[in-house]
Amino acid sequence: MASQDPTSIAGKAFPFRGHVDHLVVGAGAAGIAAARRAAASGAKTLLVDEHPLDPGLFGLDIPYLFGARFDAGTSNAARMEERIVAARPDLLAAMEDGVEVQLGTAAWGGFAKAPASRLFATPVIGLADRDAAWLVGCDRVTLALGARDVVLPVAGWTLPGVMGAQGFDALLRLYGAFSGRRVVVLGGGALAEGTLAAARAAGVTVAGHLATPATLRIEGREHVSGVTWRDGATWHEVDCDTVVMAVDTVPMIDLAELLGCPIAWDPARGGFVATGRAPVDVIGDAAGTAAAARGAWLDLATAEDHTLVCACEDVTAGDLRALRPPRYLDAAGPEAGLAALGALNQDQVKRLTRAGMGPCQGRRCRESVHALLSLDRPSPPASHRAPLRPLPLSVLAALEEDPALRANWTGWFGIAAQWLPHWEPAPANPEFIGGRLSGGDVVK
Amino acid sequence: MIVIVGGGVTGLSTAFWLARDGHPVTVVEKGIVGWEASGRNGGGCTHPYSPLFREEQRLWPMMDDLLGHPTEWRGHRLKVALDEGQLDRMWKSTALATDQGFQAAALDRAELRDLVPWVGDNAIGGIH
Repeated sequence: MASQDPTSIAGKAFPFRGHVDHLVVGAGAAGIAAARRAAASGAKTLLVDEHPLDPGLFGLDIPYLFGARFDAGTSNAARMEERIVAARPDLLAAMEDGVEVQLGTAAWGGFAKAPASRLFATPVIGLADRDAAWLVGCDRVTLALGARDVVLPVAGWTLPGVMGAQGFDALLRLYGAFSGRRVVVLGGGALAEGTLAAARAAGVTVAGHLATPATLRIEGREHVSGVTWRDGATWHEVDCDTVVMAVDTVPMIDLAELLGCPIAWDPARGGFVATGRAPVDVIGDAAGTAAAARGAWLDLATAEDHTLVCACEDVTAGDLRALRPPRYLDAAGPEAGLAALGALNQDQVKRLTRAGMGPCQGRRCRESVHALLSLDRPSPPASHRAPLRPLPLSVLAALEEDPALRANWTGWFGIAAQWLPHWEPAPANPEFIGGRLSGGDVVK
Repeated sequence: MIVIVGGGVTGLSTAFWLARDGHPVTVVEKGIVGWEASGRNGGGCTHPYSPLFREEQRLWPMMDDLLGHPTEWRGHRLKVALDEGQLDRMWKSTALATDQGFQAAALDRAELRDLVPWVGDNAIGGIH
């Protein structure tokens, strides 16, 4: 097993599965077109896409907000793969052009030459399917990562049946596995219009459409049962089993950030957007979606302190405003609240409040937290780190372990003198095994 | 004016104690404070072989009051062994602390289960 980074001290090494001229991540329209162009120019081209997803990811709302409105068909990977190929006929054309296509393969990491990692002459991308994780090197990489759903933290948003426009579109048109019947659509722009058209074309009943920001509540005890909203002094109510949040999407920038692409705030392109930097290209929705339309909706949704913003860690808008430590510590925050931090940064706020620290890794609350921190000026982006997608323990367990780690974790990092207490004289021999451990105890 | 370059745990701690003693201190940080090695797992801070161990054990329990913010520090540590060899090596490293006057107790299989009911069947004992 060749190690890509001989200076790594990690106990497990991902296998390296070769090198391609051009790797394209994301097999939507933009990614397929880029892969075909690359192959036509003679480059050995690999196109990967995380769909069809591992069935467990639908329930975790990764990468979209699926809102538990997927049917049992999603657990049949082979059938889902057929549907994806049927929904994207250009995939077959790409294969005929010589593009190697790997579906059900997620990119969870990206490693490129940077001040702290100078060893990588060309980018190395971490890939995984449901059985294994591995690395692929490439001369060029094109990121066609698409866009993410934006969650409005309105009352009731965590109920099963609340989904995003991307999740709805994927279940309806990519997987053919949408299980809802009556939907209410939130949002006024082209995204909402597209959502409505797709719903009607699929025979889904559109029970309601809220095009302008309103104070609203998603009703239901265990599942969505309806939506109520205020119009002036009047409350309206409509019954439904699904609410599609189609106010906004944001460019997916996670892998671009890991690969060192500059990230900038550009509301005209949806929010934080990555710009390609050789040898990385960023294309399609990842390079910019429609102008951000969520501001007024998020302001209304987070106006009240009891609004639940981070559902994984139970953090409310009020907790964030007060910079309150996590609930279970039962401690007050600083008297000055958010202002106490000075320049606000979502990563710092995460450490203080736990907002964004849970299993969804901020996929659902990023935009809400950012809006709360950006009252005066846009707060910097919350950072991303590998693994960008959850890797099953079975994938990690299957990897070869460093013999030192397996035999004895006290041999961690292979530091021979780790257990030498400070009161004993420093050894002349740097290989000396310190303290009360013998050479046999510490496996190097 | 004392300028400290770097806002990790070392720079901030140095600045904190200097400021408490009345010195004018400015910390310069290129990114955000406590973010890189200070904000990640893998950066251990309680090493019994370190000359700072005793002082660190004295200071940790006061940190919440000193900082006015909960640090989630816990004063007890449990080591679980899966075989006799592991247990033996654990005692050897634990002795680095007990030799300095800190307390540690051996736990047999039953005592370990009393303390941690969900510990795996393969755990033969531990140190508390």
